[in-house]
Amino acid sequence: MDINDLKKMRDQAKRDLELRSGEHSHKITISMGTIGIAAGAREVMKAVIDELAKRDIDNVPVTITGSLGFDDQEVVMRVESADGEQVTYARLDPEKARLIVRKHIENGERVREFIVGMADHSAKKEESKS
Amino acid sequence: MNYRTHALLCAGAACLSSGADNVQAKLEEAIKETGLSDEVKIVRTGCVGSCDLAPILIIEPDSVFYQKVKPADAEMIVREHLLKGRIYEKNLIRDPDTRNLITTHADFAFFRKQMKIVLANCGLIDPENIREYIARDGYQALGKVLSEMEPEEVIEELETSRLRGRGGAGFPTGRKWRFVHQAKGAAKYVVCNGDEGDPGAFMDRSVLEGDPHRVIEAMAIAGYTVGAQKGFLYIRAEYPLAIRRVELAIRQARELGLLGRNILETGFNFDLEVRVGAGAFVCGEETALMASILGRRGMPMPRPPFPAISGLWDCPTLINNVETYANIVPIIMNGGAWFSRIGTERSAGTKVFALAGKINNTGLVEVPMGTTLREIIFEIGGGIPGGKRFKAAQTGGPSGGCIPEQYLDISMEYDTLSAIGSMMGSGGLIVMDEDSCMVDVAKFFLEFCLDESCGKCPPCRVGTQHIFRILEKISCGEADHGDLAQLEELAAMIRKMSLCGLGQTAPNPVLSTLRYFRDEYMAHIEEKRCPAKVCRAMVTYRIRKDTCIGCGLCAKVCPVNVISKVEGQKLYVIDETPCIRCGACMDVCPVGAVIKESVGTPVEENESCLSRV
Amino acid sequence: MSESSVIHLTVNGQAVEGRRGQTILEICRAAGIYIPTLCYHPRLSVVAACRMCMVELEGNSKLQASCSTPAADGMVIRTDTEHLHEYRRLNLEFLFSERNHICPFCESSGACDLQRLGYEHKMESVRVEYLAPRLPTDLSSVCFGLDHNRCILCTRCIRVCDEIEGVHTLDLTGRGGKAMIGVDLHTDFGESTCTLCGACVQVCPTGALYDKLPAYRGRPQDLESVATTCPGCSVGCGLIAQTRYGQVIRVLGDENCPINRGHTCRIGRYDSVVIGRKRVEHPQVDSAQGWDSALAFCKQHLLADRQKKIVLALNSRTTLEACVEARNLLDTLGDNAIATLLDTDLPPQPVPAPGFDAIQKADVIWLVNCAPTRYVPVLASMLRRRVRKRQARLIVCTRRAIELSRYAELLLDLGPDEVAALFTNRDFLPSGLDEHSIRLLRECLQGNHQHLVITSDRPDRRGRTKVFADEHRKALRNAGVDLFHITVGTNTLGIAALLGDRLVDRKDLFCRELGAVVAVVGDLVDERVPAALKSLTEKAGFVLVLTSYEMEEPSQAVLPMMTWWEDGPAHVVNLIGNIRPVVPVGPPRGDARPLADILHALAVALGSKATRRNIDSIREELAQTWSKREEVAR
Repeated sequence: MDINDLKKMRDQAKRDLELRSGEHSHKITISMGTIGIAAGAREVMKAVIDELAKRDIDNVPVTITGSLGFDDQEVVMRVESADGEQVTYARLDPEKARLIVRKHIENGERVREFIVGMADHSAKKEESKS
Repeated sequence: MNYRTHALLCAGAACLSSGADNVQAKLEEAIKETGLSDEVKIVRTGCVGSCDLAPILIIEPDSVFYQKVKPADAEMIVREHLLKGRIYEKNLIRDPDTRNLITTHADFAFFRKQMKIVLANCGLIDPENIREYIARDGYQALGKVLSEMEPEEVIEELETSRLRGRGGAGFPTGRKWRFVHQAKGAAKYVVCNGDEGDPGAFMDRSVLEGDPHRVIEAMAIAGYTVGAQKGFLYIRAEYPLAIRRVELAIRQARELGLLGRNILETGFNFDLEVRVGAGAFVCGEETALMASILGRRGMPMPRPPFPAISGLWDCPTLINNVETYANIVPIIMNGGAWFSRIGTERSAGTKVFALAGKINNTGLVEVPMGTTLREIIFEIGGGIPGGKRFKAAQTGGPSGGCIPEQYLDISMEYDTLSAIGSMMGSGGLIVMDEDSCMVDVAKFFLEFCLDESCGKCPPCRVGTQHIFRILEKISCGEADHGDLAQLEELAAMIRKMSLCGLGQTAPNPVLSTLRYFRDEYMAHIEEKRCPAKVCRAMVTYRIRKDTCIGCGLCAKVCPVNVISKVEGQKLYVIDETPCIRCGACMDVCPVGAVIKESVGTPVEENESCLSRV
Repeated sequence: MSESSVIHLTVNGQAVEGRRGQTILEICRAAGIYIPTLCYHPRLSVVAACRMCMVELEGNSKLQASCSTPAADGMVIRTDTEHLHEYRRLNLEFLFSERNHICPFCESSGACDLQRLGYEHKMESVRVEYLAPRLPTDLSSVCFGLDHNRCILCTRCIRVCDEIEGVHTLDLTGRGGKAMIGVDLHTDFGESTCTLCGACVQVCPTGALYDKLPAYRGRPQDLESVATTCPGCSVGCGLIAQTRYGQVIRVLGDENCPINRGHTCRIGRYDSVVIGRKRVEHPQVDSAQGWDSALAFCKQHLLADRQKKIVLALNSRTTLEACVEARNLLDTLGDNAIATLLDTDLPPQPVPAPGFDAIQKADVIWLVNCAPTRYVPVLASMLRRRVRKRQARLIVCTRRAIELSRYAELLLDLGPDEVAALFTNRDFLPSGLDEHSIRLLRECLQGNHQHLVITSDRPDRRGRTKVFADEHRKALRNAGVDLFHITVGTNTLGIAALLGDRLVDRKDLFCRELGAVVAVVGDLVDERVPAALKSLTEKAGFVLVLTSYEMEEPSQAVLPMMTWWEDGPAHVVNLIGNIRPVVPVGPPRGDARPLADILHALAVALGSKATRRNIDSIREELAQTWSKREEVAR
């Protein structure tokens, strides 16, 4: 192995450790309360992780939380970006979640149809549900 | 496998001995049962640092810090947090001031003020997996040195950094590397001193257990710089985990061509071997360490010649401490100038301290040189338990001295500490409160030196026995002023005449405590009283009549059966004369009726004269 | 001495010169400036353990151990300040307090460095408590005792055992205040690997190690010291014999002798001092009184049976001067008179071995059919030293294991012919070797190694061993390999050179019918000598025994002979051809006479007119004899 090989090995290995370091472009949180699980939140999560891997996106952690407050619109997923913007998507299934990964995470385009809430932590404003 | 969560289980020695393996077993079981095996990866890391909170579990990317995790807690954490996203509050840290729960260790005062350079990877990576080290830029420094730098440039970088040896002496590292580089010899050797014999010190252990590649990479860089192809890592036998992890790390590095022949295809050859100590503090002294590596009895040899000129097999040998080596990689990656901006004018960089004793947050802390003792003890360390008063902090182990209250704002660096009669040492920092007796502390460290003396030279071998006897006399109330004068006389001679650092510094704890707590010594000598009520011969235990409820627990627990019930009363008394002052009665009394007093304290009116037989 | 290697120091205000590379202590000693020491010894490695030699160095707040600190040009040193004196005294007090140093019943009192330093530093009392540990005494060794109560842990004994004798029987065990000198792995001295060379006793500065024989028999001022040569073997070490009232009390190695430099062995130090045997003080020949009538009686009986052989059985200690007289006596007795050696076989190689520096030069040393530890212990210690310091490799080719086998890299069962073949024939490989041995053997033989073959050509008990024939010797010489023969017996080489063809192996004479035998037993007390004597004299007509001590079996005629210690001035030659002096150490007992005188008197009685020869002419004769022999061999 020479120095270039070492660098390649580092870049590949870095992905595994991304979860532990602080810098993420986006952070995804999936509501995983009882209702969420019943509505299929686990499958949605698996799909999101798989799509991220497919797209070679390795610095976006996926975490779970209890109910995010939109119980009647499960499955709910929140996307936070590094600049503080917080977008909450609802009524998701695995396909829709994958779409959000492709559009919002990879291309930076929010998917308007599924948004139920938005917050900007820098401006402290919140738009109402659409 | 695309894990979405890493459960970082601290597998440093403290957490292991608190049962981390059992916690892991439970975690694995629970994760399997809840079907999370594809989502959650368990990673065993090195020491996180906050050792009194062991076992420790950190969930990333959530950055949640769980402390004192028992197997049952682990199961709950899986079911609540990992499965349902609900943080399991029972095992969170509670802020001692605000009483709020802290979820992220970044918010915990213990970690907030630390600057982790040496310990940067500890607690973050699995030390048994070289790829994780590589992911964090591991072996990039070696690559840089081998392909872009000449040995002279490496030395200059070290000199710019102003790095000083972290083993205790504080000798400028760059200068030492230059000496070995310039020396002539058929072969040269690089040695890492992992003997860490100071009682209460575990900095080097944590680095070797938690980030062994950091040291291995640095030794390879050292080999390139000074012209050595062989290195030895001398690790004390009392660190079997460190030995195992370092040997595994060496194997893994060899497999990837990062050790051995033609490293990174640059033509550079370097290999490492682990050598295990055999239970001798004196083998931390560099000439005794080399004798041990050569298979001889670990006894120091006179210097000159210095190891840099003539060491192992009479060849130039570089010997540095574990922590010193751990600083090399960051210096190469970030530059010597970066390092020299951290710390103070005379002491650059950070220092890892092992906080122990009467302190709330025991464990490892890494702070920039120049941090005050007050900050370390009260802000990072969380202060003294029970709200007791700070008395002194011992640094430098059995070779060091104490820092009393008036120096709490001292800048923690090499020269300031030696100016007040202590020393930086390897980083052990033992905190003492008002219940510590300084004579007893001095006696403890002196007894250690006495036991560990190699026996070669009379000043140390015999002299330490004599000053220990005097200290024993003092702590038994049998000494007079003449004994104290002799103590100082003998101590001065032992310092000047001993062959090696062990003997030369053995009197330090005594001299240091005498310097700052002379009144305490005088109380022992003139009044036959131990102000802290530690020295057994001078304390006595009594039961207060007005507090005793007659439960008899004290009598049950007394190992020498000298507590008896007073006829016709709900009251127990201690027979002073055969009492061995173990304190078991005091520990077990539910109402605090047992008190400790100096011998000769008069009994008050409201206490029955029968309470003292 | 080049100019640049001279350095200048100032010691106690006095200008002193030294050489670069010397320590402060060495320079001071050479200049006569006194610095007290305990652990330092000029022949041993420096450990700087005792801390007595500490000195003050200007510009350095730390004291320096002068024994280990190299001197540098311009150093300003003080060796005698009040401060140093005070610390040295306290150091001594520490030592005295540590163990039980009770001078009144110690055999070294008066000859003890610790005691002397105590007086020198005016140590009248010990200000610290006596620790009074209970320590053992090991008296299990036949020759000396080890009393731990008197030991100051200077480690001289350990160093001499490791660095000079080379067996490393002693080392430090335990740590700190519990440290003790240990024998092997906690064995008794008497059961250990100790070779009884006594070097440890000679270097011990206190009474911790002491010889049993001389114990309490005399203080230094009661003894007289004479330097002489050891009778024990053919190495010819220099010894110092210490006597009181003419009796040898103690034997030490002579530090000034370049052969052994103060080292000696069990044979020289202990076995050579005979005790408990009764001396023969007057001639015991029939009813004859006095030497003259005794000699007359002997003359008569020697010539009684001219048909049978007359055998002059010398022993290996026979001096060169006595040898010359022996030859003269043989000539006087006629053609049927021959000589033999009573206590050893004839040397197969009658020329001296190459000097001891052949050992110092060698990289690979082969031992073929010899047992150096048994016959020439000091030479064995030279080998051990080199091998243990990894300066040479050892290959042992003997049928049975010898003491030195444990230091060998390879153990082979080869005879002289096979060894010679190894050096002449590149393809030759002895049979039955494993891969590892073959590899090692090849390694040793390839490359530019200097080889040395040491042999004594001693047959094993069944007389089966082959010897180095001339062709083998030639082959080795052509291959650049030194061949070192060990001659067994103090002066065997000299005797063989002077008596030449008239010397016959004793085995050829055992149980033969002989006319007369003159047996020179001398002071040999080896039990094999009476057995050999018996075999020789069983069928002899007349037996005349020359002896120092009374024999168990009575003989017809006994003449009193001086012991080695009484004999001299005379000479022997050692195995490398050095002429070594035999010096009288004490007066003779009774009427005992030197062998040379007795043989001369016998010859004169038989009609010889020859005069006595001096050592210079003998030396010349030896040189000529050997050079002739070497030419023949070539």
